[in-house]
Amino acid sequence: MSTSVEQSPDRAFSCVEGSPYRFSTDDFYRMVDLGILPKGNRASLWDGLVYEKPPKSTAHAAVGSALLMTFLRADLQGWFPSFDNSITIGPDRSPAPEIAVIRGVPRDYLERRPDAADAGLLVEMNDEIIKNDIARKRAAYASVGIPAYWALDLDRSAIDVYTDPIPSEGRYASVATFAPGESIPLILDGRTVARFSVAESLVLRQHSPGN
Amino acid sequence: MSTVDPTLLETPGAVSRPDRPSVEPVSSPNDRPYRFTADDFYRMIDRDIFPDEARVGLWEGQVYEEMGKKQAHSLSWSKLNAALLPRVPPGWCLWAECSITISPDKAPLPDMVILRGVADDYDGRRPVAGDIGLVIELADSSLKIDTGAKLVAYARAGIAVYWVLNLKDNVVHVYADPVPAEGRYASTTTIGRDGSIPFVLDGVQVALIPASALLPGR
Repeated sequence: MSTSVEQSPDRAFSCVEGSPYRFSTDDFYRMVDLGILPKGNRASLWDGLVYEKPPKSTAHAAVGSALLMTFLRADLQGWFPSFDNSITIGPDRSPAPEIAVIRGVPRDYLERRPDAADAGLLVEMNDEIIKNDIARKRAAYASVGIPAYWALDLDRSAIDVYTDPIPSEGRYASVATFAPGESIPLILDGRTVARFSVAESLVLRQHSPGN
Repeated sequence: MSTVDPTLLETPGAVSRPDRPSVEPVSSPNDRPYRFTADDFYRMIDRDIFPDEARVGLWEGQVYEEMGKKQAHSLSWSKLNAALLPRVPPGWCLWAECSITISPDKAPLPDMVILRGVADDYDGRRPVAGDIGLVIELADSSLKIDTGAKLVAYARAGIAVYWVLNLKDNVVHVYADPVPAEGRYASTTTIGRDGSIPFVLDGVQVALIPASALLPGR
């Protein structure tokens, strides 16, 4: 007796027959706008499949807020931080990174979602993330030319900074790890517009032992 | 620090195309598959999220697309339709490839169903388990699922009678007397090409159909 549905791991897609239906980003946004998918960006699209983010851990929520404040305080010179919002990075991929630094002003995006060409930096939290998955996701960001990708690792209290995407190879040519005590340059359009203290970004985590 | 992660080599540089064959779905980090309800699914259909030609169903909250059919499947479907249609008694109607809601997160697309009443009774509403007298699946590559997970779900929903036309072994499996709490049918019969299949609706046998009238072969 087939128990393929029960046997598959929780995170995997499984279908009783045939193959999973793959939605386009257009389908995905229509479903969000029609209210079929919950608003609030807990859903994302990856390779045409809809995923739901689990609720954020306490530390994740706090660090995410601290991070957002860090970006809001900086003068991003023609860019703005978008917090936990969808971004189109392909015909069937629409992740919602923790922070996306987007060109222009929010008003520019009343009628359309930001896409890869609008993004200067994506920031994601690395807690609980399975390494293969994050590598694939990072590869996808590099392949569409997202200029920079920061992975915040709450367990290591460090930020991995990936820059110099090589789209044809789906990878970033440069990676550097920043620890508390160091500061990360925020480079947009080739200019360093701000420097962020890692300690400031991860301050809540450091002050919450055992969390 | 190394800049080349081995897993990157598995990922093509170009962005994915929606039409690529689905093999191992790539998981999005940290996230779980989103589970749609049957209501969500029908809203997607009604709002034209799917192209008209898409043959989609919902299973455990996930939308799936049915595979293309083998020739034997189409042939058997044609015979089934021809054999069944004249034998459907008044008060029942035959629907092909119709979505049925069998639980809040399951809306499969069986090959054929016999529904209570007339077709117009379903104008504006979707058939649910209580409307269904008989569900028929044509199974070749889907045999394991049709006699496994699907059978369990149909029994749980209380679908009275379920036929699986087993095109692999050229037999018909007839399941009746569902035990919903246990997800099984109390009565299971396998009928070969030489046998006949009792066509039973609401516990009344309305016809006896030769299996050879349904299965491929003269």
